[in-house]
Amino acid sequence: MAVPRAKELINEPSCEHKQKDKAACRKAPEPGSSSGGCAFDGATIALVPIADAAHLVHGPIACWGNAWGSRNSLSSGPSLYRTAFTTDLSENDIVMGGEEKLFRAILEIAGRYSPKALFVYLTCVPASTGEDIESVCKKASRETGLPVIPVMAPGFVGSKVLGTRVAGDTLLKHVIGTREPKETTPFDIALIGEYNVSGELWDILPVFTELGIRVLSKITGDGRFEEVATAHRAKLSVLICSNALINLAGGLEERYGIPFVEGSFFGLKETNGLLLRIVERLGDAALIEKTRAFTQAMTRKTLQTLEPIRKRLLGKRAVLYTGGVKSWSVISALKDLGMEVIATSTRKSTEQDIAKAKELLGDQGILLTRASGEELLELVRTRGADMLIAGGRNQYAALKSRIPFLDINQERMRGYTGYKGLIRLAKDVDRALANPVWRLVLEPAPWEAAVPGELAAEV
Amino acid sequence: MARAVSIKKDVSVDPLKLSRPLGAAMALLGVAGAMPLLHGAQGCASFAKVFFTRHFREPAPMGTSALSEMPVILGGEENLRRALLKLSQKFHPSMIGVIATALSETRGEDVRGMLENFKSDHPEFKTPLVFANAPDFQGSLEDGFALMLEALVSGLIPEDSALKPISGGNLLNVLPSAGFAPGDVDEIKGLIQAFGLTPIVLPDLSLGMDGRLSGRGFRPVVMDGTRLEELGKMPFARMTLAFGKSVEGAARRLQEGFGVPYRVFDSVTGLQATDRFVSALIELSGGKVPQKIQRDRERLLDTMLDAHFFTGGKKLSAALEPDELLAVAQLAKEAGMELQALIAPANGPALGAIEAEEVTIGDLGDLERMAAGSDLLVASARAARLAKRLDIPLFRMGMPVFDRVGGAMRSKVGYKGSARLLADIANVLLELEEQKLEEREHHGVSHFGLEEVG
Repeated sequence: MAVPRAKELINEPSCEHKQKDKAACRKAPEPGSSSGGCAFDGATIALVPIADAAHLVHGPIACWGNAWGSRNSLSSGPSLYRTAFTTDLSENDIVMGGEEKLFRAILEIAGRYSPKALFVYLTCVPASTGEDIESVCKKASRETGLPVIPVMAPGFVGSKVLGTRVAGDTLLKHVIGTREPKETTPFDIALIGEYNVSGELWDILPVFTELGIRVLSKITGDGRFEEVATAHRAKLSVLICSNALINLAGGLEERYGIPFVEGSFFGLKETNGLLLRIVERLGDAALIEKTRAFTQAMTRKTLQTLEPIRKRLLGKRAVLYTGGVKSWSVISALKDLGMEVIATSTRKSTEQDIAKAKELLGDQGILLTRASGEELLELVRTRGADMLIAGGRNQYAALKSRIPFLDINQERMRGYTGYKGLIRLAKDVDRALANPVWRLVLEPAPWEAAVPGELAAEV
Repeated sequence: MARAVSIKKDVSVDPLKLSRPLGAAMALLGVAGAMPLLHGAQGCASFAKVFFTRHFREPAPMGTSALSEMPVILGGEENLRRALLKLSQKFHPSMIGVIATALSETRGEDVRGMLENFKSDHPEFKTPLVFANAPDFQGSLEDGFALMLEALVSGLIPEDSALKPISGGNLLNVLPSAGFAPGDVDEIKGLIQAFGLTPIVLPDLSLGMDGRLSGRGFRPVVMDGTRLEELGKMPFARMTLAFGKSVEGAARRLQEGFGVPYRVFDSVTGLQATDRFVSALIELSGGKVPQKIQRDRERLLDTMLDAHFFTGGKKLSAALEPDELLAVAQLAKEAGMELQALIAPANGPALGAIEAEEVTIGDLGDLERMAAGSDLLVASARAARLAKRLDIPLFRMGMPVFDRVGGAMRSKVGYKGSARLLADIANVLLELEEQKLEEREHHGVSHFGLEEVG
C-alpha cells in the first residue's frame, strides 16, 4: 500500500517537548460521531493556497467533489488554485488501475492551464489498491517539464494535523531548494502556517514592510510556487499558529541551518512578542530598536481605537473551543478586549500550548480535551458565559440554543490577526453580543407569556 | 426529448458531481432522530457534515467508522461495530443508516453481512439499522438519496404491515427526491392537505433541515422529520406519490411489498406540471379545488404575463442534478426561454424527459465552456466565479449554496413556488435590461447599420 512515512512524521524530532501530543497523534481515530477531518483534508488546507499551481486530486468523487471551494484562502494574483481538478475515479478505473488516467490528466492540465507546478493528492482508494503515483508524477514531470509533486496523504493515514505534516514534508522533499531567489536581504524570513484565510496575511505583511523585514516565502497563504521554493534562503522561519507544520520549520533548520521562532498574531501581547522575537533572532540592533518603538506606538494606537468597544466588552465571558496555538492565543486577544475566557480546549495542543492556556485562564478556567456541541452549550449555561467562540461545526448548535456565537476557525469571513485584526475581532464580538436578536429570540410569544396581572386588570 | 451525451475525460474540472454517499446521508436528514453512519475514513463523514451544516445552516449529525490504516488492510468490521455501539449508547438515535463508501467497496467488504453478524452478536442492540450500498464510483447525489430511500422503505416498515391491507382513506405516501428542498416539501404538503388528504412524507426535510430551534435538550441526531411510526402506516396509504423520476424505485418497492399503487410526478414546477399534480389531487380527494389554490394559479398566470417581456427569447444555461434540471427546464420553456447548455453530473431518468436536444453529462468546466453567450445561468454557488468570468448573472439553485441565507424558505414547486421562482428569474433578467439601457445612454445616438440590433 502506498502509505507515506506517516509514522516518522508523528515522531517529528523538532518537537521533543511534545511527547504527549505525539501519543495523541499516533492514536487511530475513534469510530463514532464525526469530529474532525482526515489527512487528505489537512494536506489540501496546507498546500492548495499555493495560487499559481494546479491541484489535482486522484480519487473517487467524494474526496474533492464534496469538499472543493469551501475555504477562504485568498490570492492577490493568480486564481488557478481555485479551479478544482479530480480524476473522479470510476469502478472501472479502479479495476484497470488509475495510473494511466492520472498521467493523462496531468498532461491535460499542464497543456490547458499552464500551471507553475502540479500537486497531485493521493486519496484512500488508489492508496489501498497500491497505485504508484510517485512514479506517475516523475514520468509526467519529465514529459511536461513542470514540477509534478505527489502528496502522499490518503485520508486513512490519520488526522488533519498529520496531513498538514505530510504537506510540510512534501515541500521539504520536492519544492524547497529547487529555485533561487533573484536577490536576498539580511532580513529575509519564511512565514510558515499562515494560509491567508479571509486575507489575514494582508494585515500582517504591511507590518513587516514597515519594519524593513522581507517575507521571502509565504507558506502558503497567497503563496507562489517559485517563492515557496526559495525558502531555503531565508534567514529565519516564523511558524505561525501551527504546530502541525513544525516538521517543516525543523527541516529547514536541519537541512539549511535556518533557525525558527514560533508564535501567533492573535492579540497585542502575542503580536508584539512575536515581532520582537523575530527581530531578536535576526540580531540587528537598529532593527530591534525600531521594532520596540513600533510595537509601543502600535499598542498605544490600537488601545486608543479599541477604547469605546472595550468599555462594552469589559467582563464579558466566553467559552472558547478551537485548537492548537489558537486555544491560548485567542484567549490573549480576548483579554486585550477586556473579556474573560472561562474555558478553552486542548485539542491539537502541545504541552507548551496547554501550559500557556492554563496560565492565561487562571485558577477558575476549564481545560477541555474534546467536547461535543451540547457539552459546550451546557458549559455556557452553567458557567454563565455570554457567548461561544468556536468553529463552524458548532455554530448551529449555539444558534439553535439561542446563544451568541463567533466563528474563529477557517471558514470565518473576516481576519482577526495583527493590530487591525484585533480591532476587527473587537467589532465582531461587540456586534454579536449587542444584536437585539438575543433579547427577541428569548422572549416568549405574546400568547405564551403568562401575564395574569394585566389580564385580571382588564377583566 | 433530450439525449444524454457523456464526454469521456481524464480530469473533471470544477466537479458538479457530489458523491452518492452524500446523497444517501442527506435522505436521513429528514428522518426524526436519525443518525447517518458513513463507513469510511473520518474525512468522508467530516466533509459531509461540513457540507450539510453550511448548506442548510442547520446542525447535521454524521457518524463515522473512522477507518484508518489497519482496518483498511485487515477489514473494517470491528470499526463498524464500535461506531454502531458508541452512536447508539451516546446519542440514542431512532435509527442508524449505514452507508458504504468507495473505500469499503474497493476492499469488497460485505457490509450487509457485517450488519447481520453485528445483530446476532448483539441481541441487546435495539436501534433499527438500514444499509445503503451507494459507493461513489457512479451516479451522483440524487442516486444516493434515492438508494437510501429504497433502503428505508425496505428496511423500516414492519413486514407484518402487509397482512392488514386496508386501502382507501385519506393517507398518501409522498416520496420527494433530492431535488426537493425543504421549502418544496413544505409546499407539496400544503397542497395535499388543502385537499383534505394526509401526506406521510419520507424523508421530510421541511421538518429536519428548516429553521428548528431547540430547547435545552440539544441532541446531535436529526432534530425532526418523518417519525418511524409514520413509516409503519405507509402500507395503508391509498397511493404513493413519487416526486422526481429518481425515486420511482422506492415507490415501486411499496407497491411490490405492500400493494400500494404509485404515480410519479417528474416535476411540480411550472404551470402544466402543477396542473397535472392538482388534477391528480382532485381525482384522489374527489373534491373541488380550494379557492386559495385557484387564486395561486391565477397569480402564477399573472406572473407569467408580467414576466414574459423579460424571459421571452432569453437563453438559459443550467448545471443541476437531473430531477432539478428537468424542473428548471420546464419552467424556462413555459416562460419562452431558450435552453442553451444543460449539464448534469450523472445520467438520471429525468434527463430523457427534458425538452431539449441534448444534456451534457459533465462538470462546471463544461458549463463554462458551453454557456458563453447565455443570458442567465442556473447552478449552485460553486458557479459564482465562472459566472463572473463569463459576465452572466447566476441564479443559485442546487447544492451547495453556502453563500445565501433563507434557502430553506425558497420553493420552486406548486403554483406559488413556480410564480416566485419565475418572478425571481425575471427580475434578474429585468435588471439586465436596465443595464443595457444605461449602456445605451452612455453610447448615445447610434448609426443606421442594422447589425448591432441585439
